[in-house]
Amino acid sequence: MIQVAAYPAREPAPETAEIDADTLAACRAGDPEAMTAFVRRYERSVFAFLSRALGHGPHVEDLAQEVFLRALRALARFDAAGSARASTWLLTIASRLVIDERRKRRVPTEPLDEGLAAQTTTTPETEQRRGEVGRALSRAAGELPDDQRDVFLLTEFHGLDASDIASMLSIPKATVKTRLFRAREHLRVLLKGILEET
Amino acid sequence: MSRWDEWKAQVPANDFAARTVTAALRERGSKRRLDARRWAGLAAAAAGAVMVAGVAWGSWAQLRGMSTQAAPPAPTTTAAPRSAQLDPRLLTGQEAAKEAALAAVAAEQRRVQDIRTRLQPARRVAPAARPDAGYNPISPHCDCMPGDPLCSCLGAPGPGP
Repeated sequence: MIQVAAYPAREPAPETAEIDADTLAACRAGDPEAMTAFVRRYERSVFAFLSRALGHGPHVEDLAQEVFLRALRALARFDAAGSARASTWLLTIASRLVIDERRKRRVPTEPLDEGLAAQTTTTPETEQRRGEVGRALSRAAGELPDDQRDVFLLTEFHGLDASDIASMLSIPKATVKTRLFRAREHLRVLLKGILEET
Repeated sequence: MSRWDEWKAQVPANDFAARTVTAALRERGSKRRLDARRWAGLAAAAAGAVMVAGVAWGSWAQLRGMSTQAAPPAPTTTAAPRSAQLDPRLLTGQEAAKEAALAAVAAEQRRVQDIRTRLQPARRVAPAARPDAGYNPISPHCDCMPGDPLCSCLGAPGPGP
């Protein structure tokens, strides 16, 4: 996964580990420490999905907060012992919010914000090259249709399989596979030069 | 590291979790207050409903008792009114009115029965009608003179004057 230099304040928990049942129970009871631990555990994943799906900006933080508020509100109904993982559940909430947000207003997808672009110009040559690749990837993904981009993001960046995504987006599994195939084809064409160089 | 990882994601601010939890706790507090207010309203509504139901049930029971008492007795009875059998001091106003109505009905039934009884014998003594009842015979008028040789109404002609 992405190692983000701009977020070194604390050691992030391993992305694969789900939060434990005791912490979830304490969250349900309204324990502030447990709730903080819950948010900290999943905030990076939610921010990553939202910012890649809708572009960088202050709206990402607003939407991320809405995701966590909804999750904490509905935590009593979440079955920690069931098959659903908390990360998948949160991404389901996030993906529905993304769909709602797109319906409400057309969100312009920004390839990268100015801050990130400025950071890359001052790095050594390899870092600069990586920054260029990242911008090209972001730009190419921004050209994908929304439905293809969501499936691509959830598969490529969050490690979800077609079944999970199908249930998250309430679409057939075959549709997930089709969208993923088309997204990859589209990106392959758009990034032909970049991928050959790397 | 995947090549896609070059696509940087936006990272949360350091105080994002704290702000989110504060907002969640504030929301829970306001929801709890709202819930308490809602429960109080529901309890008041339930108490009101119970009172209304009690009043309605009482009224219904009273009306049902009245309708059961006011049901007419067997219609062919000609016994003396119950008011004659019961101590009037024990009767309430409604029962007295009911007894009076029953007495009036019984008196009317007796009067009708008397009229029928009076009419029945007259019908029995009436004579049986004869076969020629209502037939008025016409007797022939005779203008013959005694000894008239052409007279046929007085029998055989006489020897004549």
